[in-house]
Amino acid sequence: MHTDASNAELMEVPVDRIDRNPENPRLYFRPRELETLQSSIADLGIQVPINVFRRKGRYILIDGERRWRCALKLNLRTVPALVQDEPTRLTNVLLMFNIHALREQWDLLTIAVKLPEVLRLLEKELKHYPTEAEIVRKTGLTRSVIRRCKLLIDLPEMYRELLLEELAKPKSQQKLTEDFFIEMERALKTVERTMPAAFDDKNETRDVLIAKYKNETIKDLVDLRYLPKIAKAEYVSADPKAALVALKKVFSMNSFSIESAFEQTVAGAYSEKDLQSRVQQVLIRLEDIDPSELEPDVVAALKELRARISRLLRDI
Amino acid sequence: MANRYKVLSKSLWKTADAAQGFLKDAHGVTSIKIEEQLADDVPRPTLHAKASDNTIICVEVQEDACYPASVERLVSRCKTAQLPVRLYVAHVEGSESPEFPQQLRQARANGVGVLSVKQSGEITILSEPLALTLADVRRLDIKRYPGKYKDRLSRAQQTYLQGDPVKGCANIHEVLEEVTRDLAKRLHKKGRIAAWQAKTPNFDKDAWYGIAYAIFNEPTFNTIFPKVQPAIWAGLIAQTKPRNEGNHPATPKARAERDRKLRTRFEEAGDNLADVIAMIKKAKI
Repeated sequence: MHTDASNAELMEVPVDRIDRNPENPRLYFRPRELETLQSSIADLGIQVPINVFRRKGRYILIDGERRWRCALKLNLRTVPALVQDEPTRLTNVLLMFNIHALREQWDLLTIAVKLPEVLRLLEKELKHYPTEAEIVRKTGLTRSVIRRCKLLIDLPEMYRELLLEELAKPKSQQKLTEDFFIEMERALKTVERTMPAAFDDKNETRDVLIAKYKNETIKDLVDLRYLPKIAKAEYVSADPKAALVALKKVFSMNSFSIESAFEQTVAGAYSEKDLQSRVQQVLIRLEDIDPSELEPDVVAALKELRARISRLLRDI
Repeated sequence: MANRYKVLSKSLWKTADAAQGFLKDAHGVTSIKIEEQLADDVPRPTLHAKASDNTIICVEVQEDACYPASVERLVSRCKTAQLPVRLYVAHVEGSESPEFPQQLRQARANGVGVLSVKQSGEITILSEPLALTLADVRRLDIKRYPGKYKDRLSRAQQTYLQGDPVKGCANIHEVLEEVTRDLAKRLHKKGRIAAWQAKTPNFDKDAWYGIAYAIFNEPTFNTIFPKVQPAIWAGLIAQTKPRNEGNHPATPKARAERDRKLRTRFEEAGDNLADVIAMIKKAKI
């Protein structure tokens, strides 16, 4: 990213001659954030100049949209601004990402919506489709954020719109979140791969899961993580047929929860697998122990473990 | 009614659109300005419009609060600028912060109206606004007055604060007038007032002004009310003069000036009533 901010000039710019940057992916500004900033500006003024560039006699924001909004609200005449020359489109977009995404908690979908365009512009500049490392370097986003964004980008448009509508609501009225869609997409991807017979139409399945989340049949986002576990029943020696029936039932409109499906099919098997794994870890630890160095409380714990194991094995 | 707001968070646009509908339906305003300047150094409310009574009706849209620092700032600046603003705060129903009940009390105490807006756009009025040019009125200290007047004075104050300051002032004056007429009747029973007058006044029907003057002109006034500054009674006489502040001012500026007078009048009437009552209590009748 090349920007020439060295010629930037610090000046007082009339608030009314500033426009928001159309490339700013951020669509939603939380009222509480603005309220807090407004109080600070009312008391202390704008301490850090905003960044703008000139375009046709007006100024376009690069950095400082919240400060500008507060200045408008407070009816300030001017704001201190670093004024620079107009950057290229790619530079402008990348500036938005680098300045904002690193510093502020953006809604993920707002980044996701803009990301395909960034990739397209980068591809044009680099003459090849950008690698994940290049995207990270150019945008300042982490790999984890990029991967989560990609899950949202891959959503059919109707679900992206649904999520946008949801984000446009006041916090108290939002039911569906980006995290819900990310968890759902991850779960459905694994189910599709490991037990493809579990559903026929992915959108219908999404609709059912959304409805069940809204009516609280799915109480917690984490419940969605049980879906891949049920689909992988065979890996823990559980009955895959029962798992398939349970998944089909979960993916139908009823009051059957993911949690119940998990409990009824693979919970025991996963619990046993977990126990087995822990026992293996203990065995490895025991191999390394020098009996002469054992503390009395460790000796007591091991004796208790031996007694319990003996009792357990006697009943088999 | 898909307006675009520059400052307001997008999550509150529907609430603001519903508030616009309310302004049109409940106040009959047609030209609503969005996030525009009211006056220099005054924060911009989300919506404002000129009402037929020459007040400026404003709506400030909030998510979970009804009297946060920004609203307090707006109220304070409107008062300083002497703007006849009637301010509503519209908030999203169901989003209320834990501080909301306390803020609602503050809003009411400062003459700010509060609207609760459902997701469907349906609006409930939690309190009505008072023109901010009136809202700064010093409240009556009800305990200063005798028991028989307390209820009427409380109601006068409520009437003023609930948006009818002309009637609120008139209600206090009714009490003052009653006190004046009662005093005149008591003095008359004791052989005062009438003795030097050509015609005995009708203490129930003659003009309040005349009755008040009759008491003031009583030659034994200083004996009846020893240690009392004549200014107290002069103040009462000043209250009895016919007034026209209740008329409809032609411009917001005239409205602000009228409101300033009404506010002063309400405060003066309250003070004068307390002084007169104390004066009569100590009188040698």
